[in-house]
Amino acid sequence: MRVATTDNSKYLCAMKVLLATLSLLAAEPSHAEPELAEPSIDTLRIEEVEVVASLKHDYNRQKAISATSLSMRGLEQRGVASIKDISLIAPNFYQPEYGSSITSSIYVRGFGSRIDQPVMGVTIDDVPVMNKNSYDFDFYDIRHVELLRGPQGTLYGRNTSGGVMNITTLSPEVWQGARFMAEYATLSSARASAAYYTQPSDRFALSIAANYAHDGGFFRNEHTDEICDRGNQGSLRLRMIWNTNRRWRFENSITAAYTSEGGYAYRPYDMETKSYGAIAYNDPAGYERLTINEGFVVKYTDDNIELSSVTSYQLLDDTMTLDQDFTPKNMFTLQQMQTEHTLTEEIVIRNADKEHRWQWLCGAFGFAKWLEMSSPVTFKRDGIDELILQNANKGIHTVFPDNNIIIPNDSFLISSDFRIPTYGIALYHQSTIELGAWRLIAGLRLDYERSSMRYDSWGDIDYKFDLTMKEEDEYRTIHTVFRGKERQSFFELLPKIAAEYHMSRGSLYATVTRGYKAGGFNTQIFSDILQVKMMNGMMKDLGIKLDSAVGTTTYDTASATRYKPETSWNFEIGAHLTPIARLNIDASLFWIECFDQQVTVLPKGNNTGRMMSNAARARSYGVELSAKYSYKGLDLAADYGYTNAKFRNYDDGTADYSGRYLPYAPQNTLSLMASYRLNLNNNILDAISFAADWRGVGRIYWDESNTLSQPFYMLLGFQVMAHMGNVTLSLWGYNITNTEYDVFYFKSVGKSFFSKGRPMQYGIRLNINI
Amino acid sequence: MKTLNYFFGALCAMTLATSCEKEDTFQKEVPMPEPKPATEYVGSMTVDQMDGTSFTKEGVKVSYELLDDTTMEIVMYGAKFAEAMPLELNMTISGVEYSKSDNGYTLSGDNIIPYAMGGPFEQYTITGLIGNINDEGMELDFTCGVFPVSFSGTTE
Repeated sequence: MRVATTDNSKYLCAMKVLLATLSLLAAEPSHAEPELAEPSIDTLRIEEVEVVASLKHDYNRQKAISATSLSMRGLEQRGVASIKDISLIAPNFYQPEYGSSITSSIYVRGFGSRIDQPVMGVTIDDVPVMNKNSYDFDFYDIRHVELLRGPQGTLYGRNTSGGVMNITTLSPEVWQGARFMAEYATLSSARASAAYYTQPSDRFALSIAANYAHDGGFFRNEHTDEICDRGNQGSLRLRMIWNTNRRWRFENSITAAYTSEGGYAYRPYDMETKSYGAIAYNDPAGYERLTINEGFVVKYTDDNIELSSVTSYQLLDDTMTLDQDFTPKNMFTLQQMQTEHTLTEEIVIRNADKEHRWQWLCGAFGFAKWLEMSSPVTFKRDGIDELILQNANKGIHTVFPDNNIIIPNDSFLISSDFRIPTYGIALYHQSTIELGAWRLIAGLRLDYERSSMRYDSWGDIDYKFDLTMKEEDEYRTIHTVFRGKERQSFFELLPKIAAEYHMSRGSLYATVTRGYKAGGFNTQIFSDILQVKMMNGMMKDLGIKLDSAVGTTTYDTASATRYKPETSWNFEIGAHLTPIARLNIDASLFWIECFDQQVTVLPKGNNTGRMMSNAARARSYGVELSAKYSYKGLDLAADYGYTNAKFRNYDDGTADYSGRYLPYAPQNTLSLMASYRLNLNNNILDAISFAADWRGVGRIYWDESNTLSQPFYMLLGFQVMAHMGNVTLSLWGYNITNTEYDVFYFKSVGKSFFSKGRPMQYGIRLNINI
Repeated sequence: MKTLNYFFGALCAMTLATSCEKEDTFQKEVPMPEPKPATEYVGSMTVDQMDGTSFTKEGVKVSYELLDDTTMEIVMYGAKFAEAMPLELNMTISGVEYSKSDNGYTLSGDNIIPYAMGGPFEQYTITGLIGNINDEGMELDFTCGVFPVSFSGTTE
């Protein structure tokens, strides 16, 4: 409580200073309008053709929201090829690159999650991506990316407590022609894409785009002497737009994508000597994913309303294979296979007159997901010896030092199958009223979600105790079954209140919003539960009871593996200013109170699983600053985010972490970018562009006790682009100082592991737009 | 309707008659059982540690089952023989001889290999077993391997 009071006073003081400064800056009269950057390259032309508008709001920098917007040119300048590449460009947004494409651990303003429900939602052309396993995909022909930070629950619902990223692909209505891209990078990586955009008539437009990427990989598995994170991915996108008349518009897009890759470049860390070991594991690890996303958008517009309907079907079919001990030993492996079918429907009605002082929006959203998952865990010889028999025989040996429990199998399987249907419905409304220089915004959303889990987990194991079962083949079989059904439902109210004050040089705003992450089921822990049940079954069969249980787990029932929604309140003030011509400054101060925080915990004991638990109460405050300056061919951008996120209460039963920093979320993010375009207009070159990019992040604590951390580090990149008519040739570099850093830490079977960050890489890219 | 009533009346009469017949048969074929002592006792198990000290484990449950006219099987649940022993085990002593006493049984046994942890426990052979069982409790004294053990329990 004392800590909170101190934080509050500091924060309020900082808020007052910032508000006063921003007000002074904004109140200065000015008649200067920012000049447009020189539009000469093709991507610039694309930006100007159409204002990017989403289903629920038109992008406008002056709105009461903290946002980062990246145009097609901005994405190319910074070499953004996936959502992960936007990490650090947007203040307080961090998505580390580790594991494989299934790993989309996103942290915004101090909060995030390693598994299950994400803290940030993603939409692609207004279609919400309903599973975070699909978040990591290869960008190509992306026209605009907008990251809205802070809870966006009122308009976007579940899993948007940290924000929403709206991605807009290039539309055949915006640009027509053929686009080709080919890229080669060091470490044997290559990408290529081809697309054709056409508009045969005023009413019909069509595009088809495809891409392929090969990652040569960065890290070698010393045990197999092979690169472990090599991969291939490809996708195909088809988009059709049909305007029947001025009122009706139909749009259909379908994207199919496939990826097959290695990954999981985890190296052991010795806590005593503080030294890293080599990446070395013996069993296969990798990820395969097929996604098909179909979106159908209908828009009706008349003089009074705009009615939109977005229907989507999403298929996710993936398989993750893991050597789960990440050592050369034959311990245990996991193969998680899942198939998920999702249907979504959203209907939005808005008033058509955008000049009216009352802007309103009503929406209804519904979804149904059907997930079938199979997660067999195979215990191998070393795992049987070290994880099971070592514990069991430790107790036995104190009484019978010469006798052992023996498991003859070289391996045994713990099979876990799940069926998890989930559905949800939501109704929402938001109104904006303009009162002179003021704009007042209020909204409310009602979300209801229900899900159930049917689980079927089983395993067979043979054993004998050599003191009493002396025959060579006198083994007994323990058959353990754990079957049942769990269900849960929850109801959330997600209000939003905001006020904007518009001045000649910008606007000030204040918002209060509520967001939530959905609850769910911990499927990852079932193999642990069954393992414990198997060992207890063996002890029962032997007629003994150990003083210390053979296997222990914090949770041994399915009902205990449920976790509830995590909710948060976000209080924010900010400003969008243009103090001098061509200079845009965005600033915000935020305070977030998080309840029932979902934290990833390792159950007690020498266990193999991990699980989500509503174990913590936390708070976060911080600041976000962005500045952009453009003059003729010069573009300068600086983005800084500071977050101070701590547990208010968190006791995992072994230690009290109250007052400690939240792990995995960075305290600072910094991005500096400078680019200059030199127009030559000679026979060889039209122009040449130079861009330097400097991104930093840290400190990141890796554990709840704050004993391990990654200090602040910076990565330097560059890009040189030569423009020749329809052809652009680019040379780029990433982490050119080859800075070493860690992006992930975890413990498995009592051992510590780190994942190293991406090393230095150079590439050359050719773009042809005809 | 009247026919239906007759039918149900006849059916009920047959059912009652059948029930009476079964009860009669049971009465004739099975002799009245003798007063049977409780088969489960809970009490303390004391083990002489052979070093001048003893270890007592409270809450040990012991049951018995008559195997035939002269022998019974005794099962000790959660038996523990030393403080340092990190486990409790269930031990079955089969073939204990018994004879009827005034209100129970008098027990004896020698060289019985108990059954525990999935098989015969030869090094903990039971010798010198004596004891008695009655309505109020069970008393056992025996040597398990080299350790003298006594159990005293009452019905719960």
